[in-house]
Amino acid sequence: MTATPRISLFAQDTRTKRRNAAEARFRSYGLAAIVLALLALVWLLISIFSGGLPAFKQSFLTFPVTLEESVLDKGGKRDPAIMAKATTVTYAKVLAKALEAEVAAKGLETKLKTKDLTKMISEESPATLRDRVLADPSLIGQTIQVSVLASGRIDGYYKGRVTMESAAKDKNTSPEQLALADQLKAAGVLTMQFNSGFLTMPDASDKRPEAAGLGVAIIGSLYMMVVVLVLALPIGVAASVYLEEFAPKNRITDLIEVNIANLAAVPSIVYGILGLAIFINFAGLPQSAPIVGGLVLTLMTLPRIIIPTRAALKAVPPSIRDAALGVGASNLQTITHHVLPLAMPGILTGTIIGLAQALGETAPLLLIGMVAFVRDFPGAPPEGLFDPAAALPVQIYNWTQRGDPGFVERASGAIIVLLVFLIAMNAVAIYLRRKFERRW
Amino acid sequence: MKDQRLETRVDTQTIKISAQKAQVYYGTNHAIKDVDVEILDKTVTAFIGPSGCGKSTFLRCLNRMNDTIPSCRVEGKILLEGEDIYDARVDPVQLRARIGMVFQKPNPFPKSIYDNVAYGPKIHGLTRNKAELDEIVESCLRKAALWNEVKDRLAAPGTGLSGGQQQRLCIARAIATSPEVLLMDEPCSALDPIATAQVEELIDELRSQFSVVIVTHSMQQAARVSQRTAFFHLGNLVEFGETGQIFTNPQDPRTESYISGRIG
Amino acid sequence: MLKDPHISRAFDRDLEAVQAMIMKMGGLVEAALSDAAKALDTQDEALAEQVRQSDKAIDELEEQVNAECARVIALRAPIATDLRTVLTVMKIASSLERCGDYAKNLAKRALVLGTMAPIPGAAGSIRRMARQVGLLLKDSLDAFVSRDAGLAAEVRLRDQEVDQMYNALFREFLTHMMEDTRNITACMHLHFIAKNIERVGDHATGIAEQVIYLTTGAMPDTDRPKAALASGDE
Repeated sequence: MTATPRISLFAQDTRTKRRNAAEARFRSYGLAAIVLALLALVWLLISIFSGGLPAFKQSFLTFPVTLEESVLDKGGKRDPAIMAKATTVTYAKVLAKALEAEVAAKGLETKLKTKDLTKMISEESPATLRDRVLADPSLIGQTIQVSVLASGRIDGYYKGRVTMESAAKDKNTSPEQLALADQLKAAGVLTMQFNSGFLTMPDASDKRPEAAGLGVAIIGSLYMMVVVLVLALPIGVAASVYLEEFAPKNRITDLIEVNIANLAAVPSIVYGILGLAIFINFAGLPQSAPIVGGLVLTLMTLPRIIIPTRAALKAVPPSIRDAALGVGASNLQTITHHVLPLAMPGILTGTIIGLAQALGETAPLLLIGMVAFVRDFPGAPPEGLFDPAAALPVQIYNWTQRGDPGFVERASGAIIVLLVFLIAMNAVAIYLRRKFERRW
Repeated sequence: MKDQRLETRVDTQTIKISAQKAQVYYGTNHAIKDVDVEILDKTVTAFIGPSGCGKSTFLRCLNRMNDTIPSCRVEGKILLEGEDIYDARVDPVQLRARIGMVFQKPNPFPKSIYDNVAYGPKIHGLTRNKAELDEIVESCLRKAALWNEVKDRLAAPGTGLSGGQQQRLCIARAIATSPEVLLMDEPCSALDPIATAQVEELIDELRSQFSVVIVTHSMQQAARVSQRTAFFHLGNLVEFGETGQIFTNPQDPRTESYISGRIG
Repeated sequence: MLKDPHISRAFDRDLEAVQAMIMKMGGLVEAALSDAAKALDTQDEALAEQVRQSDKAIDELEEQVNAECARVIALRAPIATDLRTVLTVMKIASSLERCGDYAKNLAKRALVLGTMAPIPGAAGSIRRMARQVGLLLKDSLDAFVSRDAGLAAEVRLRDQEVDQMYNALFREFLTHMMEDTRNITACMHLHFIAKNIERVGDHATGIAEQVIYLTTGAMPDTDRPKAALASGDE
């Protein structure tokens, strides 16, 4: 036998070199992919946050307003019916006059007339003040400090949407208004404050982006999530438990399982069409109601709950089942006392992720009519479930369709709110999974 | 000296479980063929045999655990004190309160030690109040030689114990329903030698109250622990007799080949 | 640490049981030997007959010990000291059974000698020798019970005295036979008796050597001092 030349361990032969090179290349591809993904994510986040964060700050005008009885309560007896006769137009004039007085009081020079000053205040503000007075008639006769929204254009000026040049061509504002606004800002009358109204106020019409809020959309989404949770979780868990523990292992069961897996992949808009046909046309439920949205989303979320639930049930080791059966527990006792509690973390995680997905679904809601403009808050459940409402993703879609550039910021802000909710729900899912996973 | 050894008095004990021409089929596979065996009261009976010979299968028939396997079918008679356990009127859940089982891998519930032992009596409604339940838990843990080690931490999770302790906890859990027969499927195969010896000593003590049937792949364990031994091979019961007799002078050549390590 | 009991108490019970059987056998053999020598001395026919019958009990015990040891080996798989204990027990039982046979033989010959003229002083010497050997046997069994290797070594040495006593008796009987040919039959019997007793002494030594094996793990070196003329061990 001829002796093969002895190769030192310290020297790499060509095959090894090629293998190592291929591995290094593969690792760099992977790294590049991750970097690319991260860049895309960062870009997305930056564009969203830069566009949306301004929505949380709003310009407010703060000045004293004298509520004269002679103007606001002609009857003098604080009769609501008579007081209601003072319309928003009246209140608008009151506000404008008060602002004028404040301008004079602060010694600011301007060429603007009262009519122009009206344009500086948001068209929403008279209604706000009117609601306030009608709710508390004792305010009449007093001078109260009022903080009202500045108009969309003024707000836009401070957010970079409106400039002196564009104001010259804009019929809703003028460079003089902007100049006065600067003066008011210097005098402390105009301030940029945190806009909690963004989260609490209902939607506003096209011309008033500064007054537009997510209040109705958040409530609508909340109601729908409650409906989905209350319906999808028990039905999904019961279906999974049946399929996993009780169903006989035959062709029919296999067929059901395959179909459930397929349902999870069906495009969500199909569920919208289904919802339209069954819930609105056939069952006659009101359009745009959270109940219908909730039902449609339940149908969509069911497969997405059943699949992780089944996986969680399968993951419970059979030794636990054997132990329970060996002690003399019935099938049902084994499941409820042992299997379900152990599978609960997986079930909860699946449910929360399913809910998070449902929260962001837009297509089915569009088809059932939730794209309408809804100003009134839906009532308390259960009746409130039948009132028309909006939903977060649909509201975003809606705002992007509007003309006023102020709505761009609103839409981005709404996206941020939606993202926060989604991240919060996913964080809860992760926390629950970690907390319960350690136990066995 | 003879009176120290109870095992030689087996002929005076009553029959607890009797299998007559028992057959087990998995689908078309005839896994257990024509088994006639008698488990006597207050005795430890060992089932030995090479892998796949059917000893575990047969053991699981004795408390109808094979019901959980859909393709499994049992024919012939298996009588517990004269009553056929496969009769249609028998509820397997009730049966399993009378015939307890301990498994190969210790499998305590992921609950507290107290709840582990208390689970059986609770679901079968064996106690009227908490005091009685406490008593049962303590006495079972004592019988399982575990009380002194855990009496200060009954609320601690059962899964936090060592392997040997977990298996003794499973034994305590199994005897909590006061079964008449205790089935053990290779209970020591996952334990170290000291824990194994402790469990074997425990089985010897439990013998005075229950019948024990133990499946083991260790012939030495069967020799140490049992008074009667049954040798299974390829689904047949080849030989069944008093343990000392089987290990010093077996009747069937197949038995001798197996126990002396001549066949697999 | 070896004083710790086994985790399996049944194992301890089994080992104690076989050791108890050995002690019982030892007692029976010692009694048989001293009774047989006494029967020779006092010409007590009934006693001699009793010794012959009691040998059955000794044989039965040996069978029991063997069966039990086989059982212990099969069921408990003893190792180390436990294994040496079981092996020692089996060897001791075998030795004791042979000693019992010698005692029975002594009793038989005592009966025969009763029909002949007595040789003066012989019975007394025999009895003295039997007593010595009886002590050797007792001590070797005590050494077994207390696992005392020192005592066992001492037993080995004391066997020399028994050998010397046998030599003395051998010469004495030879003298008697040369003096009077009518003594030959009786002296032959007496000689065989003396030989048998000397063999019992050798067995006691064998037991002592087993005890040394049990306690130390090795047999003592075979050069034990032997003084017996034409001893059967060569």
